[in-house]
Amino acid sequence: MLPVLITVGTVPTPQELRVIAYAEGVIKKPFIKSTCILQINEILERFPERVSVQNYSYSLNYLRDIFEGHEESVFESLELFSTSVITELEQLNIELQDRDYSRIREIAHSIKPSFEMLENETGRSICHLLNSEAEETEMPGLIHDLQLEFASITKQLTRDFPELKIGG
Amino acid sequence: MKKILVIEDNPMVIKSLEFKLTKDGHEVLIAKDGREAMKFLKENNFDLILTDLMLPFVTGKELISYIKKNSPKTPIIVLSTSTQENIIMDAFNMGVDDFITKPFSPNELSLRVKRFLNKA
Repeated sequence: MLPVLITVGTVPTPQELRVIAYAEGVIKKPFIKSTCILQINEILERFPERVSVQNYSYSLNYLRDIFEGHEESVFESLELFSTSVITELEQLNIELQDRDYSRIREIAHSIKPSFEMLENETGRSICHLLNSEAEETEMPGLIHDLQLEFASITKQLTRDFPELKIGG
Repeated sequence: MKKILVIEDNPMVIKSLEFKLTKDGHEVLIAKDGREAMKFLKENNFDLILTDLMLPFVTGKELISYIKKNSPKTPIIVLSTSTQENIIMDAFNMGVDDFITKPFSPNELSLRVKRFLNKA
């Protein structure tokens, strides 16, 4: 995260001065669209590593640890992720139509470790909610969000590993 | 070589468990659901069983009950997720020996498995 202070006027208040010490940039109101975009781009360009790490929807750290750096097994696991989770997501839609909420909880329980193994916090959290706390009325929205997150991960995987087989 | 039965339905977890346990020198059999597990249990003797509790067709509770009745000395380690405290407590009350949270730490898995196999 890159903290940026949005402020009014030219003289910083004492509170703003304290915040500026921790901020990576200052943007003044009222905004002028073109200047504001330029300022944001300049801030992002100063921290390319932090921005690129945050944009990654997965990490291979856990898989590389468990497979002791055996890259073929890591790659096979990524294929397993894309082929097995998509099948379960399709099943979630079917169970949602059938209003079989206990089966939805079981599927979420089953696929939760897949997101955890790619260190994807959003997927893990949605599975956790579906499995344990979510009301039945919340399930359609959560399943939709989980599908979006899966799509984001597979899009990134396809970019990083063009030879990867995606889908069931 | 010790024989371990893994009862788990997540293919990524299965692959990682199989890799680690085989690397540690164990013979590993995989059951992807409760029915397959019952078949293996009727046809084989195992030194250790690692099982999920939420399985298709036959529940983890039914499996534990079967193992405790037919092979009471075989240690059972439950593969759990962090949301299953009540279910884990029930499993302990039924006589399981330990639990490991998924996704597991490789070293923790090796140590816990070794501990039970050395006792056998």
